[in-house]
Amino acid sequence: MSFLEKIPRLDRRVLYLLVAIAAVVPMFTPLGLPIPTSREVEGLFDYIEELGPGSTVLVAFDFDPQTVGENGPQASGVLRHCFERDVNVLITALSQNAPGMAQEMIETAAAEYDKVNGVDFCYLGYQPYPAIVIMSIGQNFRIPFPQDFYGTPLDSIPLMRAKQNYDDIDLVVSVAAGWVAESWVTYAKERYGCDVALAVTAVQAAQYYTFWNAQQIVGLLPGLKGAAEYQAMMKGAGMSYTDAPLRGMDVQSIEHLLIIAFIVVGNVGFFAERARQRREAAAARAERRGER
Amino acid sequence: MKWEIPLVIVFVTGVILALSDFVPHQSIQDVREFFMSWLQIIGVLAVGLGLVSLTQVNLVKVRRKTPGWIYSVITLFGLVIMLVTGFVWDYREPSNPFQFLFQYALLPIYATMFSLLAFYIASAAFRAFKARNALATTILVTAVIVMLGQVPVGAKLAPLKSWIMEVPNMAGFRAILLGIGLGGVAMALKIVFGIERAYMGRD
Amino acid sequence: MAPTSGADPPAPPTDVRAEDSDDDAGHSITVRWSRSPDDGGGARTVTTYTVLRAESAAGPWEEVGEVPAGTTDYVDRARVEGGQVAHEVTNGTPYYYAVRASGPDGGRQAVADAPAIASAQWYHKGKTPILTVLLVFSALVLYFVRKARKHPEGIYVRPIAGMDAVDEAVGRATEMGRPILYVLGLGTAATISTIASYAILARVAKKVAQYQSRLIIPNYDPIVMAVAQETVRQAYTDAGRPDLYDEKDIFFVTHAQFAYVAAVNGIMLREKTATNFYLGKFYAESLILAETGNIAGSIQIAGTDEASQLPFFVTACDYTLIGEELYAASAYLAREPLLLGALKAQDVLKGLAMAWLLVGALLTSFGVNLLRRWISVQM
Repeated sequence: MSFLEKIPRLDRRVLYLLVAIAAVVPMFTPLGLPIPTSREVEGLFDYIEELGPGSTVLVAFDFDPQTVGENGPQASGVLRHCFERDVNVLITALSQNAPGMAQEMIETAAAEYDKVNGVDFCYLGYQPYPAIVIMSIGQNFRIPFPQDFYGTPLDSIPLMRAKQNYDDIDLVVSVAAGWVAESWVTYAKERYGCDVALAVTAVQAAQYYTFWNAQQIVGLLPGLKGAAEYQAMMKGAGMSYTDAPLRGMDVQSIEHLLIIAFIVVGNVGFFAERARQRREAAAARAERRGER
Repeated sequence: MKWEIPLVIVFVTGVILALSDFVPHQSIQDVREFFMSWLQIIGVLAVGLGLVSLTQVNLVKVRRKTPGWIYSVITLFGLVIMLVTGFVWDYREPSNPFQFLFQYALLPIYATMFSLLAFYIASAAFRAFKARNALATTILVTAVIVMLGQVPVGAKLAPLKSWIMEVPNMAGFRAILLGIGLGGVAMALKIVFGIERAYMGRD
Repeated sequence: MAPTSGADPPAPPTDVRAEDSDDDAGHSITVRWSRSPDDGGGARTVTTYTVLRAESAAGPWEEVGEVPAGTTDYVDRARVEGGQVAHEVTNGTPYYYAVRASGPDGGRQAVADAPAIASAQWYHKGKTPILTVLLVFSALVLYFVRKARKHPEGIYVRPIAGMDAVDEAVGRATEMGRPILYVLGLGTAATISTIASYAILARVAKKVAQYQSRLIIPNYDPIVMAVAQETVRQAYTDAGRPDLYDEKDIFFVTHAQFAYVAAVNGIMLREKTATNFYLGKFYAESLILAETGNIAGSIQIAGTDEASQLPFFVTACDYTLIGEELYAASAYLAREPLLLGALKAQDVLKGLAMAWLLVGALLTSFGVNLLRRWISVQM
């Protein structure tokens, strides 16, 4: 058996090792590849740019820590952008393991921009059954959230006093790793008429382009790429930004090239093996003819 | 009777909840509110059910020393330690033992599991993307274009990638999603009318 | 029409009307007006419109809301602040409305001709298209169910390869003396794909009981677990082997996505399951599960309506039920007239939707929005 024919039987662990190396190396030696921006990301960025100070955006943390690699930079980008433009922010964390993570991200960003809890932002926290919570907000924030995350009744929070339901906010941004993103579109947008933008993992994005094309959402951040573009736009607008998602795109570039290389090598092996099988079949036929 | 009562409950709640979408009047909205609250209450109570199942199954494994019983010990230990720290310390405080476990044990473990995807995508791509025939070759070529167009390295392919995502990919997705949407309505009606009963353990 | 202050305020808005807001539970009145001639043109500037309300035409007027220039409507609705009703719009009470256009030099107001009375509606007019489709569909279901009862043989269901493979997959596990893993996914008991999955589970469990094999079902949701236990228990009883049923094989693992995946992968590798079913709602874990099963060499049958996960299942599994194939599986397996009839109705509705889309797209392209307008829904 030649080397090429052995390829299909290559130990998976070799592939895994190569993937790991390709992920780690660019972390230490950044390539600094340029980030072109796309319309769907610009959609959300421009929407928030156009909102004046004092408008209100609801940022929904609809992801658990496992996808923080993709969703984290998205959430923090949107949060910082709002703070930078003095837009008020309400935050929900409807995913089970989101509250602690969200709390840390909010408090860090708030400290950076000198934002005051209850005046510039309000962290509503977690309630079970996301779809029901999203529907109930349509009637009143106080139905699912009688208090904020810290236990303060909503009516004692200056920012929330005049906020009843979706009519009193300008935009919902759902940063999501699952179906909750869809519930915001179904209920907040379609039922209660509040504008919605989504920031989702790369895998989910393929599905949510339908909402973007049907103009059901004002913007879409697909995966780390979306987060990187968002940071690039913040950088372009002279705001403070973080490097991490941009560097992540270097890693992703290398990984994609590597996987393409795997596909090519896999196909070379596939054709080599098919050629061998054909040769053997031909030889067997010739042998049978010889016997006759 | 064992079968009729649940079917009646399903029918009545199903019809009321469907009606509440078409009747804005407060009276029916209050009924909807009532059912929604019950859904949440039952969901919370069910956590207890899960807890009992988890503890029972793992205790039995430990007692019988079935293969891999040591994992059951770890599971039970994890359950107890998170429960106890969660009860003793306020989960809203930024730093305490519960937060420590959450930030420095749970988060990294979850992130690790998710990152397995990168490895598995590589091995699945290596194995499955073969130019077996014309259709398979189309998938292969499209996958390569989209992968390149998605990252800065292949910026030149980005417009083609966008076209693939927004036209052929979307057409496929829409077809599947429309089918799922209609199928979903059909399923809901079948359940409300009591035609579909498999979820009650019955054909 | 009295000027409220200063010299030369802008002209008032015209044509002020107030009426009960549509399609709601009352407690809301919509005020509409035409812009003041000075709003966007004219000699003076309008900065805001203030909406005022009174319980009699003579006043006293109370300010209820303010909107920027350029706006032509305002919805006056009840508000709760500080746990108290801060502003009430009582159903059944007539309210008079006025709108004041204000600029830097004061403002002038116009009063609506007639008072408005808020009331609750019993029917949401904007949703008529949805109700129509729902009623048409229900009628189709009932019609085809009747038809299927009379001539069950007249309904053809195309083969679903994944379902035809169920018996073989269970048989293989039995021959190998290894258990079968059934994963219901991350949905709740109210998720449609989970409910569809129960129907297939019932069939699988019946086969397992007949072959006296073993079925393992780790669960992500406690209610899903309870239902799965009931489904399997019933299937074992129907197969005449209630004695084989072991509740400890249908257990709750965790409600954390990746912890659940880790546990299921562990079960696959430790128990060396011969056949894995993944039927229900799946997210990022789809490939991690299926690829592990592939490494372990199990036969794998998957199905989900989570479209973005389908490519992963197709790549790593032997059979994949795509979207509604999963929903259709129960009718396919049970061949019961009721289910077949509903399936047929679904096909007919799908055909109608396709025709509507095609004709609608064509007409809209030529500027005729008839079909599009008919199905547009006002929330």
